[in-house]
Amino acid sequence: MGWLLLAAVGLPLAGAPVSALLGRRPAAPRWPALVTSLGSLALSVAAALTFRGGQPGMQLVSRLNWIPALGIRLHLGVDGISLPLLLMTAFLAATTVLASWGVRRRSGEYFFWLQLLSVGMLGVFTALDLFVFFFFFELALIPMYFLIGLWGGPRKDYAAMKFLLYTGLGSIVMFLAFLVLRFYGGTFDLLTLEHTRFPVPVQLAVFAALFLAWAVKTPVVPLHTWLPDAHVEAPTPASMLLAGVLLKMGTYGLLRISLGIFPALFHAFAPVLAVLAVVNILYGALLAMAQTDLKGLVAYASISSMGYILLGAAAGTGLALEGAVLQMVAHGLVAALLFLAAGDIHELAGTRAIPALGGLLTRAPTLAWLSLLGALCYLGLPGLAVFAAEFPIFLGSFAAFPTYTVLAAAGIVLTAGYLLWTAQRILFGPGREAALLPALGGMRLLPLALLAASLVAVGVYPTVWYHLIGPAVHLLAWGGGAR
Amino acid sequence: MLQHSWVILLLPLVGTAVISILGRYLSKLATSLVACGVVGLAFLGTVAAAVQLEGLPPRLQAVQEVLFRWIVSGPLHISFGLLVDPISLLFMLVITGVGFLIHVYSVGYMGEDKNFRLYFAYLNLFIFTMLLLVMANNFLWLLVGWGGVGLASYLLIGFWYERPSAVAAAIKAFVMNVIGDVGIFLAIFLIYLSFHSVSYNRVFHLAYTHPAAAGVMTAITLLLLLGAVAKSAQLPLHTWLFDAMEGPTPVSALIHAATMVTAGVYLVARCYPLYHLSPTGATAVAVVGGASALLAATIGTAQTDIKRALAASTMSQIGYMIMAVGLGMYAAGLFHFLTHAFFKALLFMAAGNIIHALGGEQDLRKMGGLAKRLPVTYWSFLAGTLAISGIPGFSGFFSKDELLGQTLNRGHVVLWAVGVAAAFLTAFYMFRMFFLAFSGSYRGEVHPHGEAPRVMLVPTVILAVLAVVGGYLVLPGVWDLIGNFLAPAFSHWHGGAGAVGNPHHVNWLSMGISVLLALAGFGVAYQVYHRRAWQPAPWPFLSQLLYRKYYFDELYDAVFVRPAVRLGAVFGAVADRLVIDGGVMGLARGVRTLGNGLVFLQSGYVRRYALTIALGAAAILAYYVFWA
Repeated sequence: MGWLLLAAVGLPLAGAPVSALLGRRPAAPRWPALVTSLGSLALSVAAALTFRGGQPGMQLVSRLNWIPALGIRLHLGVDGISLPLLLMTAFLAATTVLASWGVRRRSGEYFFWLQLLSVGMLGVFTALDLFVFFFFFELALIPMYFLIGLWGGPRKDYAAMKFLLYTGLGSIVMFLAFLVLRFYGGTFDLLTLEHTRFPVPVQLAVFAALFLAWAVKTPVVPLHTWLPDAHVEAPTPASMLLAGVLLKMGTYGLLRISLGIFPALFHAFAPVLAVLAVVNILYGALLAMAQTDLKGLVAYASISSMGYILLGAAAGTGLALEGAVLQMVAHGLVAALLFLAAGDIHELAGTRAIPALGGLLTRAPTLAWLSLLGALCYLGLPGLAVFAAEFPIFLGSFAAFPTYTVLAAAGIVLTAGYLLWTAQRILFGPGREAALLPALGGMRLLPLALLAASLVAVGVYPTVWYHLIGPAVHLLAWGGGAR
Repeated sequence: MLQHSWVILLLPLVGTAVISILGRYLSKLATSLVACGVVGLAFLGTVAAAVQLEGLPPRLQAVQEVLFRWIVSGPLHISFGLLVDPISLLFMLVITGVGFLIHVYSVGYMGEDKNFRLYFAYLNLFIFTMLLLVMANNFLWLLVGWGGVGLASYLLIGFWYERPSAVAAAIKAFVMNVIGDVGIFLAIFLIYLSFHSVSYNRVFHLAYTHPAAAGVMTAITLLLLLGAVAKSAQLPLHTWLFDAMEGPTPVSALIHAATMVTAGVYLVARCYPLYHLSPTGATAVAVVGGASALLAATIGTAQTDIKRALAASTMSQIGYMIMAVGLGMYAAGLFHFLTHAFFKALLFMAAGNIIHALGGEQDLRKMGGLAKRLPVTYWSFLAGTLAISGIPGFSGFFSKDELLGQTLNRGHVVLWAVGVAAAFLTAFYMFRMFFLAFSGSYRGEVHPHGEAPRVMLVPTVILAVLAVVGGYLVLPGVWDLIGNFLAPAFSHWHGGAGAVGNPHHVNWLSMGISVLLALAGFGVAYQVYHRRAWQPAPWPFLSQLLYRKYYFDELYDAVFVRPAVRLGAVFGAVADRLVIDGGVMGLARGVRTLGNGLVFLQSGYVRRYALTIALGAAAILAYYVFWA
């Protein structure tokens, strides 16, 4: 069944040139994108249904020779860590196409890049060969650069450049690290490298280089400043994927590659990672509070939320790791929802400046309610997706780092504070005269409603996800206590 | 019904779903019928379950039902299950019973509101989450209900969302409750670490067979107390309750008087085996309760807004309950919960009738002389006032004296004195309120309407009757129906001994003193406020201190809220923009001036970019191939 993954990843690659060729008619290029994204989603779901849950190890593996001279194979496969991310990515890719339904300007190029981006994102979470991983990692980077640079806001050039500089730097370092691994390990194959022993100085150097790459992508404070700029300037669908999927590549790489290849080093490094996690959580939350741009607020909130994933990874207990993986999914969904809502609010009111907004509940009730649901999920309301993920993270990390966990829990209070404060200012209160546009139609609300439904579904019944995640993660777990 | 208690839980959720999905097709009458109907049915189901449970032998009076598995992961098994025992049943009866009356009352009170359907969707949602809170059979789903009632409360406090004050109050309530949620969150972590489970059954069992360290038990019980304190508006997280009065008055009656704010009492009572193991935790509970009872009673003497004065009395009365459960007198605390639900819901509904008649006026200084204009409300409010003041024959007398008598019997003289002092103040401020509203002559500007419509009066009168007779469930020296009902729940696990007091051991001294002080409170209020015009208090400093509720709001604002906001602003302006960003971008600028590579990259031409990437990749690969 290995073809399932190949097809899921490759389908948007087939659709991308079709969209580009249809560019003369502005309303046409979206259709190939819709078809391929739904196709990828269907194939990913099929992969999940074929996947035998409750078992560790890679499944649905396919190996195709790609560059035989270098021993590089198109080696794809999924386990309980990557499959949930694959599903989330395919789902977000489809909702993003829906959210881009109104794009008319240079739409051929737009949907070309969007589909190429999908290939990269889906590929990263299935690649089992470091070269292939790097290839997909870059394939996600470049379309994002163009989406920001061509369809972005007023400061798009600056933001796109900064995004490219930062993440490009991360990529270079990562690639060098991979080359070193290839030199000492003799292969790019991830599963082989996991059982290879490296000299200690090599381990240290590669681990540090890789962590730098993940830290830029995640982002870890203080390497985060590309993110708010990129988010604020990016077109809404790009923000959704940036926060929803691209940030997860960093934490995924951290678990899959750093922890997978260098478990002992990772364990030693965990206390440092925990500190960084707490800094991320609190620093992000404090800065989110100070934002006046709605997208900036969600961007800093994302930095804060990524801290919980790092905390789970640092704790290293089975529970915490499981929660960290589900938090990647949950944050992906909820951040996409909030960015989409911010984009819709911008479109409706003509501004994203929080002080200039107000009374959205009267003007656009459905949008307002769905945004509020997203905010409530984000602040960890029990019964919604983020709670279902954060609960095991905290439960697991409390055993390993009680003090840090208590500090991180303080982040929940801050989060509740700034999100509700924002909701107060933009949703409630008297309506502002600045906003005069009619409410968004049903088609515009569809992606928002789909995302909201997914938050409820994951929150009420997370067992299906944990059934997938559990066995794979317990192979990596090392922490004691509440294992 | 006992085997299918999920039906009771689900009914209000169905109501919410029907109203919010079909809302636009439902008439107001249909909405009212759905909303009240589901809660009424839930009440009937609860009564049926109570009857069935009473028929079981005592040791079987805890019926569990597991519905689905929420998380199963390695060693962690958390199911969604329900537990119906006398404690949860008592709360369920009040939630659905009083809840039903308040739903009916709301049909009249909210009749003209443009968001009528939304209101009932929220109110049903509240009933669902509150039932979830008391019916869950483990700590995790307790927390889900706990967060859920916080959400419903948030939505309903901020129901009139075009008023900035209402929305600010809603946020304050939610955030303070999140602080409490975090407390429970952390308590659950400790519980899980110590007992590897979050289900009540296992935790309470293992707490005795495999005891955790005393320090851990103390931490658990104190963290649970933090949750209880936030939800039940006790010191020091009480300030949200006063602002919560911005919500519609039936909401104040249901959520901020009868049910949700008593969740802290439920929590401590439910966790009695844990509190039994931690005398420190239990003492802290009792002290917090006693202090809150007294402090709130003093605040109540200086409020000029009728609902804020009632909020102070709610905080004070819940203080009694918390004190009682902290001292292990669970039956007495829960009995006071029951009578308080009757008389406080009644007082809020009567206050709602007044506000309704005065076109929204809540200021006691602009009331007066309403006895003739609102006769039914007058008699109902009087019944509630007599009950809460502990005048013999009315329900509050029985429950409060049961509680205070047992406190003295157990030798807690200081707490008893605090409780008795609060009882004096309670009688004073309640009659103050009563006289200011009903005696003398009318001082307001708006012309008062007449009595409220029947749909509001009937629930008021029913509660007035309950507020009078509800106390006879426990007749000192004769019978103790509440104790008999609850006793089985306190026999399942260790630590329930003494939960139910001895009905034949009446402390006549305590009773005599508290009755005398209640009458004294009435006397002072009569002297100062009966048929008098409004007059400012003679001690401006003291009255301002009390009116401002000891400046807790100002303190929290200065110490927590503003520094956090400012810290964020400083980080944003200085650290993020100048130091981190400035440094990195400065580096980038330096690189750019050194070479033209970056300018080339920035050209935006796809071809060039692709070429660069291709060349770079080719160079790296070529190097690698030849080098290897």
